[in-house]
Amino acid sequence: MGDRVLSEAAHNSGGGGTVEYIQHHLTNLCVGDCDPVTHQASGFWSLHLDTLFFGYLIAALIVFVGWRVGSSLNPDKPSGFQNFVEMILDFVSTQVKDTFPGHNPLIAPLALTIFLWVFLMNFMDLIPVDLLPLIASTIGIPYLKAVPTTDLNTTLAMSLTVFVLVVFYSIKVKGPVGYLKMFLFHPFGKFFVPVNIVMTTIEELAKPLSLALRLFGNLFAGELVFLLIALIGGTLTVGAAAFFWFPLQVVLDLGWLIFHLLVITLQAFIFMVLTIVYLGMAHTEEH
Amino acid sequence: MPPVFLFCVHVMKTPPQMGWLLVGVGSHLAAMVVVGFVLGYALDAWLETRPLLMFIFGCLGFVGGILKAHQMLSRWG
Repeated sequence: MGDRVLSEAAHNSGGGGTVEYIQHHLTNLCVGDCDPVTHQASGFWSLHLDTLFFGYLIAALIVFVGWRVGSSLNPDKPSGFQNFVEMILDFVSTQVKDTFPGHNPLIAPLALTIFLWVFLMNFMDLIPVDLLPLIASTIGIPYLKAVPTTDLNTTLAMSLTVFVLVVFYSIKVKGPVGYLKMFLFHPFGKFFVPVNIVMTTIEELAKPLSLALRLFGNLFAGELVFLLIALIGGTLTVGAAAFFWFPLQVVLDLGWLIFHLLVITLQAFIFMVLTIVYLGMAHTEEH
Repeated sequence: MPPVFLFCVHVMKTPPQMGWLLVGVGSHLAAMVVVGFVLGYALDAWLETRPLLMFIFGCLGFVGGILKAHQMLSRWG
């Protein structure tokens, strides 16, 4: 796919091939109100089918594997995979116990879901960048962006869900009056009520935005670096020069892959921990 | 199981709890400025007072972001 796009682009213009290659790989499969030229969403009712498909596929995978492990638990002689799942459960449970004040049965399952889902969605980034678009193009799908977390819609949707939960628990724990007081008298006291309202509103809205942008930014940049490394082989390997460029591409790709493995785990972990922390702050009386 | 993943799990097993908020100080500061400007822009469009509120809210977002960052760093840093 990459080669075809490149050759077409190279045919049309002198040096636009690399730009087109990158743009093509960063374009979602949009249906509904989409711009026919750029294939970007141009209205409210536009869906990124690839993001939805891979997001739900991974969610279904987690549910299926969870169900399989759950139905074949062996307390006396746990299998290797059961041990692995128990390790993750124990890890998330420890985090929740350490970070979350009080008790809420919703938090640990929520944290576990976020961690696993975000991690696996991020993990799609490690699949070779040309592989899935190539397979998709053979069955007539023109655009495919396989990593759901490189789509801001996914990360914002998750962080807004967390935000709604934070608001819900804030009102539940502090009471409607207590919640309003936070807006009125924080952070400058009772003499600056209008400024306080604006500032607290900005602060509260910044939480989900920063949560979403951090994940999106890291994964989008990671994907872009993979594309750039792929371009080393795609554009520069001609004849004997391949002996130089190909090993370089392999080394760079492997290096970035290993580093990126750390990044995707860390980002999934940070999203989970910050969710717990924000919900924990909603459950405490003092702001 | 990738060894890097195991390593990450090992490193993360003993975090300084609320200290994890510090990971988000930078992006929170940036997000507050952005939210300030966007809120101001939206209100300006509604009240037809452009660019007054955008400027004020942007400044408030910046000040609030710095205050929040300072508060977090001095409490858990």
